[in-house]
Amino acid sequence: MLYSSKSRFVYFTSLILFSITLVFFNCRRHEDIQFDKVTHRFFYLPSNTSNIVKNIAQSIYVQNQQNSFVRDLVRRVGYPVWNKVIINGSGSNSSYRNTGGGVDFIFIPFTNDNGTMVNSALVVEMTASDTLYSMLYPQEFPNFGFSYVDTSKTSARDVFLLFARFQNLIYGTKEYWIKDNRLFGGGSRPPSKANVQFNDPTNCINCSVFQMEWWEICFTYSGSNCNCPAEWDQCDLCSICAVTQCWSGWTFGGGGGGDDGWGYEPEGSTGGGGSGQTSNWWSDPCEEDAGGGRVEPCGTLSEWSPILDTSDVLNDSIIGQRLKRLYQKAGGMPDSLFQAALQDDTERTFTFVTSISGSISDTVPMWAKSGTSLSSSPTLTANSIAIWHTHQDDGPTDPYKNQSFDGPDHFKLFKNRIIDGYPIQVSFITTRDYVYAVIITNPIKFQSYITTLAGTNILTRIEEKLNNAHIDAMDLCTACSFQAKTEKGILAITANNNSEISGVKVFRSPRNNLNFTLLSP
Amino acid sequence: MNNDKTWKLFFIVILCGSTLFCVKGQACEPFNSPNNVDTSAVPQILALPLSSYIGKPVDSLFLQLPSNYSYRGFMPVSIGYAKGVYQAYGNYGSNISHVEIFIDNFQYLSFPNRTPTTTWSMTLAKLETISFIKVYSNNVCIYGCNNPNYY
Repeated sequence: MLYSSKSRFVYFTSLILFSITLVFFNCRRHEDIQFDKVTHRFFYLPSNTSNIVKNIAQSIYVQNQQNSFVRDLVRRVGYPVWNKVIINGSGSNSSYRNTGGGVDFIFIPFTNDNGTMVNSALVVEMTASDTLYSMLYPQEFPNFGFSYVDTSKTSARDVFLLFARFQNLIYGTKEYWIKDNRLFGGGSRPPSKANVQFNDPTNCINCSVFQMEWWEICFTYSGSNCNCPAEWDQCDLCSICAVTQCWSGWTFGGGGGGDDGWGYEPEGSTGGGGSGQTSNWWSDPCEEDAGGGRVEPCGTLSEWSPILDTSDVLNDSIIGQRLKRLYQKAGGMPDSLFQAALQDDTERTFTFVTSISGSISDTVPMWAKSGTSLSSSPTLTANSIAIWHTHQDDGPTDPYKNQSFDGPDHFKLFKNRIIDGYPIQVSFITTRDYVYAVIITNPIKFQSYITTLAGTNILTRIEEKLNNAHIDAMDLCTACSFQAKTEKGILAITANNNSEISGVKVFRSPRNNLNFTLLSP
Repeated sequence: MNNDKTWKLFFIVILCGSTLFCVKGQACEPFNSPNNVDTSAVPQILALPLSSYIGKPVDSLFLQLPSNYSYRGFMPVSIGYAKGVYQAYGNYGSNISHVEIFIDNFQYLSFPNRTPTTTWSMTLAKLETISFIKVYSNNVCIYGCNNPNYY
């Protein structure tokens, strides 16, 4: 075929433009799919999610289809933690309040993957005829006022307690530095360490109607000289001044008549009992005129901050000591059960349970049981905190002796804690020479890492993927002993024991001289 | 003419390269492909006389289950062993389901087999005898639950 110079130019130019267009659209497709990943994760609900929360998620899903806000919302405040939702009211729009009846409030916390604080909460106000959405940020607490006389209105203290409850549910936070004295007691108390306790929801009064809890916050003031405030009359010995003051009350639904608690109404709001922010509730409040007396929550929260117990969570030495103490709570039980497993080649398991007697809480091993030669299933309850099982060897020549965690072991920990919701923190294995332990340091990261690693949310497929990743890593070390291979395997499915990524830490101890240390990659 | 060929080659390379770029990337996995959306699997599965497949070959059940499954694989236990096979529908989202088929006595597959399950023979697994069946919808057990021997 012959072309003139001009037609050749047009032909080549068309080819180039077409190629560029092709690449552009392929890249757009890539971006769209990335968007889908965020959206899929945003709307992934745990299997035990209540219907009322599912309905809210469905409504947000529809709103997002029309407004495409999820990616921006995730960028600003993270993902919703659907299994830590607080429902205030009956959850069925029934009239339970003495005043302003027929209102349910549902609070959905938002967190970042690598964060340690709850960034915001979606407040869903449900009446018999309407559903209102609004985002609540902890920085907004002064908007709600510091008067605690009219308990039917939300106060700044209620906002603090709501976020403190979420912090406790998600990160286990119990202590705070509180700098704004207007939250509790006023006066000139210096910034103090405060311990916040929420009671066991199973002990709450009238739980079937209200979801409410008793809270107690105690400040410990430690003065180093005689500058103790006058109202702290206990401060007679200022040099060793250490005073505790406590406040307590009902929250999230109110006590007694149910008149106490949440009525989302910031001071100065023109909305009249509601936030009035259903329209575009997902918008960044720092990029628009707030109006209605709402202070824009754009600054850094400085009036309170959770004290992350890093010494407890991150210090490997302390974790090791606690693992030793916990394991020793079982006394001779692990050894005797291991010997029994060795005799009949049948795996044994038991559960560590928190037992409360009066004001004393203790941990005890319970429910020893047998499985098969290859697996076992521990008995689990709402107060189970750790599980244990054997990896018994069959004899002196068996290559499986001293087998560390395998893929299905790690899957079981994931399922028990994340899917089934049992408060399991640790999984132990006793082998011939060693005791291994996996401790969950961050459940959210644990969940995120495992589902990302597996590339699926289907349970059995997650188990198969973990199994195969574990075996692939074993095979990489051809000169290793079986024990070392299995250690490589568990390291491969825990991000090389990087808890910042995997949300777990793997420890190992000699069996005859307990000393748990972090398993090295 | 040489220039023509060069440009045509350039065009073909761009076409294939950009396509392969997306095929290779995990992000290009179609989350919403027909195989990843389960709209009817659970009712169809539960409509089967599942208990009647106990004692029969795995394939007899596979042939009756909805054919639009997304994954079929093995259920590992310990290292190098299996407790059965599964068939799944969907992958992400709130509309996923799967069927777990337990096999107590393997007659065709031999264990231990310390290779990834992706190398194991599903053809042989189909010949094995079914011992127990569990069905999950959105990771919640809805059939065959609470048997302490099958977990």
